[in-house]
Amino acid sequence: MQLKEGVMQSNEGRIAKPRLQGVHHTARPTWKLRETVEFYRDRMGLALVHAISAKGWGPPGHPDFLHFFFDSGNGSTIAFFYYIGVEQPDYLRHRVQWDGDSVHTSWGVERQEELLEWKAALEARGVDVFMRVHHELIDSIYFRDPNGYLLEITWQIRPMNALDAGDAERTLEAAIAVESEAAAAGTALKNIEGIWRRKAQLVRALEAKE
Amino acid sequence: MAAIYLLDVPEFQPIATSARKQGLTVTTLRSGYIRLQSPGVLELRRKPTGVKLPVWFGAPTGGLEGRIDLFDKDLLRVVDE
Repeated sequence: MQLKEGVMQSNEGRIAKPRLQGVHHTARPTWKLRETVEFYRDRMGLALVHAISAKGWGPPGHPDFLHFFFDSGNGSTIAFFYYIGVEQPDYLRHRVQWDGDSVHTSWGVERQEELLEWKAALEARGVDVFMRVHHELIDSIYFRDPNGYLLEITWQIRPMNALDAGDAERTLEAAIAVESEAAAAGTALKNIEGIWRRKAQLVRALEAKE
Repeated sequence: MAAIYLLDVPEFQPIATSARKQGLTVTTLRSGYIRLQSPGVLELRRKPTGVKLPVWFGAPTGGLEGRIDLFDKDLLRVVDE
C-alpha cells in the first residue's frame, strides 16, 4: 500500500544516521544504599558490574558520591547515584501516584513464559508484584524497588509495524495542532476529544488520497 | 452522523467484530482504519467486545466524529453534534 510505504520512508528518513544502539544506562538517585544493592543484586539477581566512587568534582558544591551499575541484559545497565552527606530533598522523594510513576523503568523479555517466570521468581523472593496489565501491544507486570521507584517487565505481543508508526504520526500531528490552536486562543486542552476529532479529519483526508 | 475510527490492528479487531453485531455500520478503510458509525447516536457496549480496559479506553484513537456523551468502562455513547 502506497500510504504505508510513505510512512515508513518518512520515519526511516529521520533515523537513518547517526543511529542509537539501545539503552546503555539510566540513572536515578538513591538515599537507601544497602536496600538498593540488596534489591537489585540479591532479589532481582542483576549482577553488580561497575561502581565509581569519587571525590566531589565538577560544579561547585558537588558532593562525594558513589555511582553503581547493575546488568539488565543485552548490554544495558540500570545505575544509581548515592550522594554522601546530602539529605534527600523533598522534590526527589518519589511520589507513588500516576505523575511520579510516569518516570519508570521497563525491561523487556522475549516470551510470555519468561514474564510469568519473573512474576513467580519475584514473588518467591518477597517482592510484591502488585499489578499485571495487558495493554494494546504489551503485557506487563509492575513492582517497586526500595526507593519506591516503579519497575515494569514487559512482553511485547507483536512487532510494531508501519500502521502503528503512521497512526502515531497522525496522533501527534493532531495533538500538536489542537494544542497550538488552544494556546493561540489563550486556552489549554481540557480532554482528548478535540485531538480525536482532528485525527478523524486527518484520516478522512488520507482516505480521500488513497 | 456519529463515528469512531479504530486502528486496523489485532488489538482493536474484536471491537469491530462486536460493533457489527451491536448494529453499528462497520467499514474497513484502505488507509488502515476501521470506521464504526451510526446515524444520530452511536452506542457501543464493552462487555460483548471482550476487550480489557486499557484497549477500551484507547479505542477511538483513530478519530472521533461527534461528541462523547458517555465513556465509562461499560459503555461508549457518541452523539451527533
